[in-house]
Amino acid sequence: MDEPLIDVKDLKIRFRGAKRDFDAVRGISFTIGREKVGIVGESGSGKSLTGRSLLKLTPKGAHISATHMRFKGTDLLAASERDMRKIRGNHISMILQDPKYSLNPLMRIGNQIVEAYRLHHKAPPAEAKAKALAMLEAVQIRDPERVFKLFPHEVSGGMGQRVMIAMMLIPEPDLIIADEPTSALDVTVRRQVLTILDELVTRRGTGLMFISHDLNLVASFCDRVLVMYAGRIMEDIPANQLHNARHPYTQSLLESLPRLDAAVDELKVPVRDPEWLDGPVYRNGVLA
Amino acid sequence: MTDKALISASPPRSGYSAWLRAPVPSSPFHARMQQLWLQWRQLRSNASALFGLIVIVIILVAALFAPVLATHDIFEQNLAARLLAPSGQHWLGTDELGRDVYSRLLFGARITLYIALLTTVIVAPIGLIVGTTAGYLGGWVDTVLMRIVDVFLAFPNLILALAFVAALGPGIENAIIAISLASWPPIARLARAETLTIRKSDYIAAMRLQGASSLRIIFGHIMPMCIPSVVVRVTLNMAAIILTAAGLGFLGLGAQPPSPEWGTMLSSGREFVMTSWWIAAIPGCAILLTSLAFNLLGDGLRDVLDPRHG
Amino acid sequence: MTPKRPLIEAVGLSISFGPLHARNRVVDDVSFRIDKGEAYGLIGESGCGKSTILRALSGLNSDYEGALTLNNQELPKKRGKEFFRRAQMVFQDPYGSLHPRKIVEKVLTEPLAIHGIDRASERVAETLDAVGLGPSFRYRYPHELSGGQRQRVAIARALITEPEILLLDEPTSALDVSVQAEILNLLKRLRVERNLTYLMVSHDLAVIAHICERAGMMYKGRIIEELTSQQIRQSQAKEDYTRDFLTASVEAVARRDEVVG
Repeated sequence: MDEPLIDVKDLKIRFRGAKRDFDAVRGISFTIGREKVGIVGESGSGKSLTGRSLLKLTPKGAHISATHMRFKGTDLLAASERDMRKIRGNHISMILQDPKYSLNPLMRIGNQIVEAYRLHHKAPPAEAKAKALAMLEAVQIRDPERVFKLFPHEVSGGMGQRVMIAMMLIPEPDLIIADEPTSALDVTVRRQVLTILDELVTRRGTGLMFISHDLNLVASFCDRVLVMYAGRIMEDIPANQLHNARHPYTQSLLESLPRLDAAVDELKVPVRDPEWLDGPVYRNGVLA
Repeated sequence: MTDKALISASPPRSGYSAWLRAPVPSSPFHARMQQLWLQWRQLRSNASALFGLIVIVIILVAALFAPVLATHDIFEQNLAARLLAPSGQHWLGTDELGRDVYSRLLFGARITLYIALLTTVIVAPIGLIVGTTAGYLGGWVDTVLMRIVDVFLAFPNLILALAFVAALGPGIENAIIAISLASWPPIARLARAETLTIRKSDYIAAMRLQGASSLRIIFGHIMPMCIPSVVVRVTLNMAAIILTAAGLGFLGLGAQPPSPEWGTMLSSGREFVMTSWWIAAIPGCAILLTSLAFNLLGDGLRDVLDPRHG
Repeated sequence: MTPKRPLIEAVGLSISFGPLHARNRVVDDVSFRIDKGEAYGLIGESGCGKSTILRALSGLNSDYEGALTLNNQELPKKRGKEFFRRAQMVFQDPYGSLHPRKIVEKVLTEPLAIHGIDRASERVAETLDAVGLGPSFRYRYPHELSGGQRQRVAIARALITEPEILLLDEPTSALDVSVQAEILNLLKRLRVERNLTYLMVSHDLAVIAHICERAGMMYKGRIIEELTSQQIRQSQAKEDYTRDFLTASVEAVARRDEVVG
């Protein structure tokens, strides 16, 4: 694999409180190449914040620091707001959980996609429209001409999320950050959306950062999994090696899920060990 | 877990303070007091709300101890000493009949607070009961109650109060009744709007599934949720009530002349504004300061009691 | 031999919403039976009507057609107090199902007061203990508790009047996986200890298979087929839709045969 798209070392995100500071992300390092990387963790583990920090879209009051945080050689830490606007959408785009809130409710779907394209490519309207229709077709929307003219509230959740994917992919970014893109969707729709995302990402060689709380989903969808707990990456492991996970937290997460293939009387409940907060972490099955 | 960390981080204290900070409350009363203490700490950190509260406390103290604090008899006329500017003898000057403005102001605070508090005590429960009942029961009950509210809301506050006073005759008690009649509908509206969102919540559904009666749900579960916003609203309303009372007094329809009501004082000082400004300006400032204080306190209470508007 | 009588039975249950000229039939002629001590699941995607059935059975929505029976007696549309004593519900969102201004003790004593049950204080302590919360939670407000702890309080509230039926509306879908495991274990244990009958609604096949012996697969307001948990585990479905649902639940992505490079 050549130079990674994202190279982050010792990333820390701290919230300044009135009385005490709160460390949401505590010194994590990772790289993302042209691959599908899943970030898994429970609520409060800092996974979403990590994704947002790459686009510098963290909430006010969050202080980001890192040894380095590079995107294709560009130092994201030093980048100005102006530089970031160029990177957002153009090079890194983001898919959020619920399309209902991330599409403009007053604009027709087609126009939103056209706008996304023309923001980053100087193209005449007709060409942009053709491109947008092609993109809608690429996300397997059967009647792109009709959907092009619809408003966001007129489409279902799964369709909306496909529109979002089309919109995010049309500027041909190098990296997509998907924050729980399918947790608002039903299982069969989820499968459809993921299949489309998988195909497009693989064909274009786009990097994907897939943030989710669902370990099973990530394991079957991604190439590599980063397991986060309390602001640290506990384990960095290839998805197909997940059953060999070394960290007790990863193991207990796997065991706590009810499984279809094996009936158990009682599910294992992870016992949280305070030592994990500063204890050893694993990379590819060995101590890091 | 973070809660515990926070609590143990603060230095150990003794007595009441430790009791208030105990990580595990030992009785319902203890839990409620801890809750109140947290809210008080939040209110204390809000400078303008604290200012409002202090001003209101000062006015309350002044009203309570008016006979002690007053320097002159408030009804005694002394035509030799009329229209005197503020001095060592008369701190805030004298009015057109030679009465001490400072002493009258103190006793006037009693009347103003009497009107404001009594109106609130009448208005808040009526508004709450009408609003929550209409909101929870819905249907024709809602329609009837809300149309009545609409009728009251269709008139401006002061006009409605004027009409009632005109019908009942001037006087403080009638002014209170008139102001109350004019100011319960907005509270009913507010309580109804709150109730409409609360009644859909799962915790109300859970109570219905326990077999709780409508009466129990309205009084035991919906009202406690409406009280914070009503308290805020009522506190903000105090300012309007004081102004309406002063307005009625000013127009000669509220408290009657010898009584030192602020609006009446302001009205009688009107003729002398050019020559003896203090007669009108001082009760005017008192009205301004009191309603400002209630407004600031109301805003602060809203932040503490109703985090949604924070 | 007389056939075993079901505890709960739904016959031709239909539920519609919306104004008369544009009625939308959300549940369409659904029938099922649940034996005493059994755990029955309703699976389906959002909008298939599974929660609507639960709300109708619980008595929250009395606007339904068809019959719901308990112990072979048809339930009146307007449920009486005795019914609520026998069946209780646990809601999906633990953040919305507890009154924000009531301490845990108050939440638990109120049902006892409604039904006039004695020994309130002891019962509260026992029930808190049964759901795995110690006495230290007794005087806490909901906002001081985590999602899992709140759901335990909600379960305690449902159990304190000692009902025989528990209606579970996606009780773990708002929780993290590790907390989900705790709650599922708790539900499983309580059912054995108290001989409860469950009707559980969920979109998660694995959760249903873990808790329930039998489940109805719902699609567009109908139960299209009934499966045992064994059949779910072995993907033995007759209907196409069920088969799709099963595969989609097992693997997240349908991969085309990849070209071996």
